Formats: sequence, structure tokens, C-alpha cells
Amino acid sequence: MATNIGNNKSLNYEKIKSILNGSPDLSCRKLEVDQLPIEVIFMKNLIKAEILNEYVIKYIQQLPKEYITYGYLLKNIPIEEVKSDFEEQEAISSLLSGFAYISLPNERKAFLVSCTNPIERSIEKAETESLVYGPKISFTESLTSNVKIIRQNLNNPNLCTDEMKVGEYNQKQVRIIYLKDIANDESLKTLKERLEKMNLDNVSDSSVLAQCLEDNHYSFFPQFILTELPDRFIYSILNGRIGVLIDGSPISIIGPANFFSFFESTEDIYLRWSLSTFIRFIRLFAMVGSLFLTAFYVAAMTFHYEIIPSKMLLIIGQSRSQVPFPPLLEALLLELLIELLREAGARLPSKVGQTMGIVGGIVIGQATVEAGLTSNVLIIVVSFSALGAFSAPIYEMGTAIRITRFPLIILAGVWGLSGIIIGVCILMVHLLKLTSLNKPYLAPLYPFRLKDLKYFLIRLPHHYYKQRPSRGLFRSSITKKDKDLDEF
Amino acid sequence: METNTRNINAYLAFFIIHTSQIGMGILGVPKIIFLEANKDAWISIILSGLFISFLTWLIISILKRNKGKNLYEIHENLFGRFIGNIINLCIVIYFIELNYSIIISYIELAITWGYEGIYEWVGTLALILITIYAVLGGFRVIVGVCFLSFFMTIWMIFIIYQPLSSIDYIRILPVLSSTPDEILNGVFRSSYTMLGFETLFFIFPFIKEKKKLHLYSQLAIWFTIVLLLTITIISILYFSPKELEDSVWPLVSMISSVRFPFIERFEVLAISLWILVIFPNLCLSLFISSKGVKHIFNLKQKHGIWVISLFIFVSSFFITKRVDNDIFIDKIGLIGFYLWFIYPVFLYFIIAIKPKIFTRTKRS
Repeated sequence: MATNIGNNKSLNYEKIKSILNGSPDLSCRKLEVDQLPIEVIFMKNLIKAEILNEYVIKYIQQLPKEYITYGYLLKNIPIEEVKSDFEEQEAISSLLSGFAYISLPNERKAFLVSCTNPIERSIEKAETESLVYGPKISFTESLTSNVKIIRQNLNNPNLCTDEMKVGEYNQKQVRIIYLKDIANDESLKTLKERLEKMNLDNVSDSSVLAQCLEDNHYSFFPQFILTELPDRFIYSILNGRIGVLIDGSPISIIGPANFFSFFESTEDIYLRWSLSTFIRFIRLFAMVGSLFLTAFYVAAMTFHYEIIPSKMLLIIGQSRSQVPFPPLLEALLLELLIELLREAGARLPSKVGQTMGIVGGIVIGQATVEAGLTSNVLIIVVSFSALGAFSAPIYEMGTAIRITRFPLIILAGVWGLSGIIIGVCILMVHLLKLTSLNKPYLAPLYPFRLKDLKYFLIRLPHHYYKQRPSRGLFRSSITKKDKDLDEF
Repeated sequence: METNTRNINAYLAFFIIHTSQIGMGILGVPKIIFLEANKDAWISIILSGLFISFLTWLIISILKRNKGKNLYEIHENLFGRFIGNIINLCIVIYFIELNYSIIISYIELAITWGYEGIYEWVGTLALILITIYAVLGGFRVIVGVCFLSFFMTIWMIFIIYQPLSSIDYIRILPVLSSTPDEILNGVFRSSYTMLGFETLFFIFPFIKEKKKLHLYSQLAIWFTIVLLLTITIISILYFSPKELEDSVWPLVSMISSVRFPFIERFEVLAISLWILVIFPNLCLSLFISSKGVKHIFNLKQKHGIWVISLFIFVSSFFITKRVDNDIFIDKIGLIGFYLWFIYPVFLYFIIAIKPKIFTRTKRS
């Protein structure tokens, strides 16, 4: 089957039309130069008409007759991408990508030239992530322009952009981007192996790709950083991580990730060290508070009301005395209400969204307190938790915290403070077991590297950062095969 | 059977040994030693510490002579398969019972301090399940648990400053008013609390830098001893003698007098946080006992864990009263004393003498 179509008569206009199921966009322009027939087959809406007209048709028509041969045209046609050695499948997929199929029936040879006209969104500000300070452009859906943005900002010859294809039914192009001398080789190998093993019909978006490439599919916590900002991407690549871009998605995947990298933002580098260190602590503190505050309230109300200082106990007791539900149910109700508000607010058209936000937040909140369905202390607690979950700069980590909060509330309602601590134990063990591209998730906290802590917990002035963190951070790799517990 | 492992750094041995020594014993140790040695309980602890330091040195030299094998393999080498495995079985049973004793004493503590009405088997089941989840992650996860739980609970030491405002120095004077007999009895009684350094026998093959191990183990043991010393001395100074004899968990009673502006009864929080303190103990003892089961019966550790946990869960229904708990813990302390305080000396001599006996028999 692997015959050179250029030498085979089997692919002509009728045959292509039947393979493409009679598509009305398929056109054939028959040229004749001095009784020498030339056929140009293309998909009307996929090509850029100027390129076809100026550089193919006009060029061929202006050539003297003796130059119109397969060899001469192949070497001299003024188009930058030409394919001459292809199979039938590739010819069809190239036609569908915007190539023009030029065939010379006399010589029974043909070649493909590129006249593509991809739809590209112009480069705009990032929607889901935003920085107060610093570059604000975001990636777009076109793979070529994304790679162009990266190359423009990182013009080192060691930057490798390896190409792979994923998707069985709908093939998409994927680029793996890394710096050859800095990136970790084991992670790269693991990533490439996993990409080859994937057998999904269609990879709709890069977040789908990230989910397929993860180490532990069942965990709540993300194991890859997903970001829209090129400066974040380039910063991670320069630290030794590996990035993956897929055609059709503005979100890039960065791995291996560790837990603390989800709490750092490139803004930390752009701002001065004092503010950055302070904000990093606030983020971690907000995350911890968001996870445990509601659970702590439920536990204290149900089992250990004596823990609350006596002055506050009066206030809380007063507001709780009207509520008919036990604290666990009250807390779950209010948390679910806030989640509903957030979901609805994300889907509403922008004109209605603002009003609904105010209605939901203020009116419903106030009304539930006055109706006696919840206590006002709980509303403060729940809104603090809601805010705290989004302090993580990466959206996926915020969602992980939102979800992890619910089992903790239920544990608190069932077993009180001990339940929360058992939840902490389970969480701790889970994070210890988790790996991202076979690198431990809790580095640099668990395989404790003092030198790397200055990259993740605090931010020192720039002259302290002489070494890249990748040297210490990615040293140890954990491969899980069917081993017993004492062989790891 | 050489274990095929990827090793951990030596400094982690500090956390492993320290967290495996601090468990349920520290809550009640002032009272137990006070009953024997009265005001000189702190001298018992210092003597105990010196002896354990010496034992650590012995243990490490035993392990170094056998080149990276754990205790189960050493027994098999020395005494042959049959007798070695009988001794290994005793050790496995000791660790299973240790695990069990920690669980039942914690459940009893939790039920006394605020969870009346909770069935005991629920708490036991919860603790067993989280231990299984941790141990299934392998040795790396267990060491991580030791490391993280150390940092999550060590800040509780600094709470001691509050009871310090109501201590009376006269209670510890006059010094050395007890007979040496009573002091040595105090050492004997404190064995349940001091035990934990025997995990050194079993973690030795996993350590990368074996030379630094001695330094870190001694650091761990002296850190524990200093901690226990502080707590005992403050207990003696804080409680009156009769009060100390009557209280069951003196440390908890001391913590209950602590009060912060945002939390009133701190001991409720401290008792819940105590799960984090015992969690490394539970994980380590389950790991070591299942490793022993693997050595003796060739049952993979992944399956051995479930068998041992089922055994512990079923037997938790049988010992429920306070009195029974006390007797059980005393017995464990006794067995632990003979097994880990006296036996390593014995083992060291056997290992030191054995090559000499063999060379003599070869020559003759």
C-alpha cells in the first residue's frame, strides 16, 4: 500500500470527491498551458485565495511550456511548504488542512503545496488568570502562534519543541517544549511514553490531555500545572520543567509539578521580595483556613462547645438557638448554596451576572439568617472559606480545595475534632504518596531540601537565586511497579 | 533475603526514632515513675537515658558487624532457621501487641475526654484503616509521616510556659531522698515510655549514610530524654504528691489548665492532635510486624498488613476496661524491657564471641 502516489494515477478528482463524501467545498481548477493540462484540486474554504491565485495559478500560467515539468515545478514553485512523497491518507489529510493538490496528468505525478488560511484569534489579555503587574498576553488556540510567542521570548537554541500526534479518530498535533540541557531526562522519557500509550478518540482540550497523563487519576489534587500565561510557561521551562501544548487549546500543561508550585505566581518575581513573601504566606494560610475553618466550626458546635471562649459563646449561642438543624446540616446547606451561586454566576451572561451576584450574596445571605435557617457566624466562616479557596493562583488547585473541604466537614460532624485530625492524616498520607511524572509531590518539604525551600515558601531578593531549583528538586524518581512494601 | 530498596537519608532517622519513642507513654510517665521513685523520678529518667544511649551504641555495632541486614535476618544467620524464626515470632507478636496497646489506650483517652457515647470499635476501625492506608504507601511514606507529624506537633511543647506560672520549687527538694532501689525500679517502670529505639534494628538497611546514623540516633534519644525530663520535672513541681499519684494522665491534666484567648479548653484540641503523635508509632509497628511475617511465613507484606489488622481489630473487643488496659500495658512494658533493654547486650556478646569460637574449632 505504500506506493508513491506521485507515480500512480489512482488519485484524481472523482476519487477524492468520493472519499470526502461529496463535499461541496472541494474544487478543481483545470489549467491548460499550451495544451498541457494541469489540475489544481483544493478545498475552497480552507485555502487563502491570494496564495493560490498569485503563487500557484499565475506562476504556472506565466511559465514557458518547457519548464512545466514535475521536477522543475517541485523545485521552483514559490510556496514555502511542498510535499512530494506521500500516501493517499496523507494527501487527504493535507487537503483537509488547506493544502492544494497539483497534479500533472501527462506525467502522472502530483505534489501538494501549502495555502493554508487558519482562523486565529488575535492575542488578547488572559481571561481566567490575571496579573496585576507584568505581561498580560495569553496563549491562543493556534499551536503555531503559541510556539511563536514562546520562541520570541526564549530564543535559546537549546529550546526543543518535539512534535507528536495524539488522538485516534481526530488527530491533533502536540508539541513538547523543554530546554535540552536543563530539563530532567527521566520526566521527559516518562511523558513521551505516556503520550504514546494514550488511545483516546479525541483529545478535546489540553486539560483532557493533562487528565490522561496524570500519575493518579483518582486523586483530588492536580498533578500538572495548567496555565494560559506565556510568562508563567517560560518561567517554568527555565526552571527545568517540561511543557506541552496542543493544537486548539490556549491552555498549556507544565509538569512535573509539586504541591507548592501551585501556590506561586510569576507576580511574586515581579514584585519586591517583602510583598511576595508576605503574599505567599497569606496564600498558604488562606488555603489551610479554607480547608479547616468550616469543619472546625461544625466540630466545635456539635461536640466541643466548651472550646469557644465564653464571650463568643454567647453570641454564637444566640444565633444558633433559632436554627432548627444540627450544625453539620446547616454548614453543608450553606456551603452548597455558595457553590451553587458560584456555578450559576459563571454561566450567566455578563449583563445579568452582576445583579445575580449581589442578589445571591447579600439578599439570600441576609434572608437566611433572618429566617433562622443559618447563624450569621456561619455565613462569615463560609464566605471566608469560599474566598480562601481561590487564593491559589492555579484554578485547578482552587477546585481541589473546594472539593476536599466537604469530606472534612462531614468527618467533623461525625467525629468532632478527632475526625478532622483523622482527615488531616488521610490527606497527609495521600499527598505523600502522590507523584507527578514520578517525582514526589511534596518536594521540597518531604524529601527535605533546605536550599529549595527558598524557592517555594519564601522569596528572597534575586541575588540569592544563583542556582536553579531543578538541581535539587527533581533528583529522586519513584517508579511504582508491582513491588512489595519494603522495596520501593 | 536482601531487600531491594532505594534508601533514605540519615537525618530522617532522627525523626523516625524520636517519633516512635513519643507515643501514649509520655502522657502518663510522670505518675508511673513517681509511684516508684517519688521526687527523684527525674534521676530515673536520666539513668534510663544513659542506658539507652549505651544500648544504641551496642545496637549499631551489632548492625554494622552484620552488614546491612535487619534483625530478622541476623537471627536467622546466628541461630539457624528454626530457632531464629521462633525468636522472630516473639518479636512480631511484641510489635502487634504494641500496636494494639497504643490503639486501646488512645481510644480510652479519647472516650474519657469528651466522646462519651462513641463506640470503641468505631475509633479502633478508623485508626486501623488510616494506618493501613499509610503503610500501603511503602517505607518512604511512613518516614514522611514521621517527619511531617513531628513538625505538626512539636509546637505543643511551648505551651508548657503557662503551667510554669504555678509551680512550687519545694516539691522537688530534697534531692536524692529515695533509695537507689526505688530509683532503679523507676527505670524499670519507665520502659514502656522509653521504648521505640528498637526500630533502629529494622530501619538500618534503608539508610544511605550508615556512618552518620549513630549521631542522629543519639540526638533523637537525647531529645526524647530531655523532653521527658522537662515534663516529669514540671509535673513534680506542678502537682502535689497526692494529686500526682491519683491522676491517670498527668500531662493531659497539666494541659487542661492552659488557656488561650481564642481557645478555652486547650486539652480537647491537644487530645485530638495526639492522633498525629501516635500515627507514626502505629505505622512503624505495623510495618515492622508485617515485615517479620513476610520473613517467617513468606507472606507478602501487602497481604500481611490486612491479616495483622484484622487480628488487632478482633482482639480489640476483648480488652475494654481501664483495669485490663493497665495490666496489658504493664505486661508490654515488661516484655519490652527484657526484649530490648537486656537482650541486645546478650546478642552483642554472642556476635562478638561467635567468630572466635568458630576459629578455635577450625584450628582444632
